[in-house]
This record gives sequence, structure tokens and C-alpha cells, in this order.
Amino acid sequence: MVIRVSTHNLSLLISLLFLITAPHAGAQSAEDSAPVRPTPRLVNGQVNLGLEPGQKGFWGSSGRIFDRRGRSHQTNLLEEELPLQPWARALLEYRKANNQKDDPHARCLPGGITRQIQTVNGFEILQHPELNRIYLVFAGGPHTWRMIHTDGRPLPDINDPGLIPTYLGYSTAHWEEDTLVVETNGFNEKTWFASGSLPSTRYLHLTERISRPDFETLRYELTVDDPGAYTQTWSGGFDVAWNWTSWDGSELGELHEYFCQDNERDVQHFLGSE
Amino acid sequence: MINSSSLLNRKTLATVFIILLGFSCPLFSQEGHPLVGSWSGDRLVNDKNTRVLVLLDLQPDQEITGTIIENGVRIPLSDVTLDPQDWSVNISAVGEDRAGNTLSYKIQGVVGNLGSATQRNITGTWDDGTDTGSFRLQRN
Repeated sequence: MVIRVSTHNLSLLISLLFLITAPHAGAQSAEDSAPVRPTPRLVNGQVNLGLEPGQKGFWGSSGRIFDRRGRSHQTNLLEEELPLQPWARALLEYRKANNQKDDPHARCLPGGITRQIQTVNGFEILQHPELNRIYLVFAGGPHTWRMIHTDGRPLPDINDPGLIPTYLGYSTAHWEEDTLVVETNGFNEKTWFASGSLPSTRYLHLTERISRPDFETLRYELTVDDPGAYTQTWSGGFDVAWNWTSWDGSELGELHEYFCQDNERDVQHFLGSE
Repeated sequence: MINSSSLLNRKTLATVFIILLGFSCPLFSQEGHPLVGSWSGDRLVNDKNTRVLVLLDLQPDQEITGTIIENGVRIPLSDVTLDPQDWSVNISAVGEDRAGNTLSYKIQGVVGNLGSATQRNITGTWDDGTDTGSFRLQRN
């Protein structure tokens, strides 16, 4: 059988084949089409969780510690599976029913340690092994920063009457091969520790496992231990993507100045079911 | 001229301060368990308002403990329950007044403005064994 194809149809077919097989020029940045860069390291061999000299960028989009959408891990619990105490489950439902209108972070108070990582605007990680400290600086919310000690000090006793509980708690960390393990307690119960309206109490003890499997990925896994609000310990996590450009899309690739409190006009318009 | 009302308030505040110093836990909890923290307000006794302070804390086993401070006297709570279905609260307290008379309180109320850190309240009825009157507590 002979199949006759007109010159016009042949041209059309060739054009169609070209569109299907040609690289999508312009739809991706140079970084997207380049091979994934390996995990950077400090001179002491430790994984570098932040910038390298001469590089630009910062950590940006992330996910949730429960549910499995987007950058959230596929092994996460779903919301209905969270082991909440009855009062905490009811409080979570109340917050959701009221559109999170009472969220302290929306009132420019510091978010919890995971919430700050999840906040848009991005963050940087600054490692100072010579000081036994790691700093996280956050562009979103009230422009906060967080300090993690790596000198082996123990966590404080939350029942110590001399302890002053804080928004971000007290953090101490150590390395397990290429994973930074951070433990934090001593929270003041004035904030929601992660996105998703999750309740917590002063018994909250968080363990973060932070790794960098490749240059553009920060893997964040959190274990929640809070007998006040949860019936058992549980874990979840997400990946954070590296941002090459600034928030305004410019090539500068730096955190921008942002203060939630400046010209804040939203709170008066928050609506709930009550 | 000395204002007796302000003197009483200063004495009450001083007593509260001293009692709070003895509390081993910080009572911040604006966003934790809805009941945890310090609550102050009035209860109606024989058509007269009496100032009260209620301090509540959550234990890891979910028991809610605390104390009532009234007229400079500390009355420990014997039982506190919160029903998360309707946010109703039941509090029982047993103690003694300055004269050594037994005080037995049964308090029933409902948490209002649950989501607010500054406007949360508990309203209801307060039975002191002799009289039952209304009360209103505001989260501090």
C-alpha cells in the first residue's frame, strides 16, 4: 500500500515532530538544564548548608510536615492521622474553621522554628564551626534569626524556674555524618510551631534532621514530641528548594528586606466563623 | 487620704506576686492548651463582686492543676475538666479561708473567644457552697 502525503502536510508533520522533540528553550533557566550540583562542603569536610563563596541564592519554597502535596514528603502523615490529644484536635479544627484568623504569625510575631523555615521570603543558614554556632536568618515575618549551639551543651530543663521560655526555644545540635541533628525545647507557647495550625504546649521537644543531598535541595525532617498536645511522638518533613533569584525576580539572588510590621493593615480584616 | 479599695488591691496584688513566685512553671500559654495560664475577674457573691485569680497548668498526663486566689487566700483545685466538644469547663476547689472555715467551690463555665490570646474568657456560674452567682474571668 502506498501512502501519499502532500507537500503541505509533510511540512506540517515535520514542524510537529520538531516541536515535540526540540529542547524547550526559554522555559527553563540555565540552572534548570544544567546537571544538579553536588553537595558543597566546608574546608573541614562538613556539609555546607548555606552559601559558597562567590555564589548567590538562598533557601526558598518548602512544604509541610504533614500531608503529601508539593515538596512535602510522601511518607508524611495526613492531617486526619495526626496523633492529637482530643483538646488539640478540637483546637486545630477551630483554627481551620476560623481561617486561622488568630494566627500569631499573621500578627507579625515570630513563627515557630519550623514555621519560619516554611515562611515565604526565604532564609539563609550561616555555619560558624569556629564559634560552635549555626545561625538561621529569616527574611519573612518579623525578620527574625535563630541560633543553634554545636558545642555539645545539653538542652535546658523546662521545669527549671530560672528558664525563660522563648518563641524559638533553645537549640543544640550535632552532626550524624552528613545530617545536622538539632534538638530544641523551652518554647513559650506564644506561637504556632509549624504551618497547618498545629497546637503545641510547653512540653514541646522538636528534633530536626537537616541534610543537603544536592546543592539545590535541603531535606528537612522533624520529629514532634509533645505529650501535652499529642498522644505519641510523630515525624514528617519536606524538601526546601534553592532560590537563584531574589524575591522580586532580579538576578541579585539575595534575601530582601521585609518587615511584617511595616504598614501592616491586614489584621483588622481577618474573618472567621465567629 | 488613703483609699481603702486601692490598699486592698495592693495587698491582693502583693499576695498574688508572692504566690506566683512559688509557681514552678511559667504561665504564658497563649497558644497552648486553652485553659493554661492566669485568669482574673469577678464573681458575684450576694450581689457583690469579688475579685478572683485562677491559675491553671497542664501536666504531661493531661491533668489540669491549679489554684484559686481570693481575698489573699490560696484555694487548690481538686478537679478541672474541659470538654473540647463545646469548650465547657468544670472546676472544683477545696480549701480554707483565713478563719479556718472550709471553702468548697464548684465552678461551671464555657470558654469564649477561644482563639484570641488577649480576649479569651470563661463565663458561667460559681457555687461557693452557700451561694451561686455568675462569674467572668479574662485571660491575662
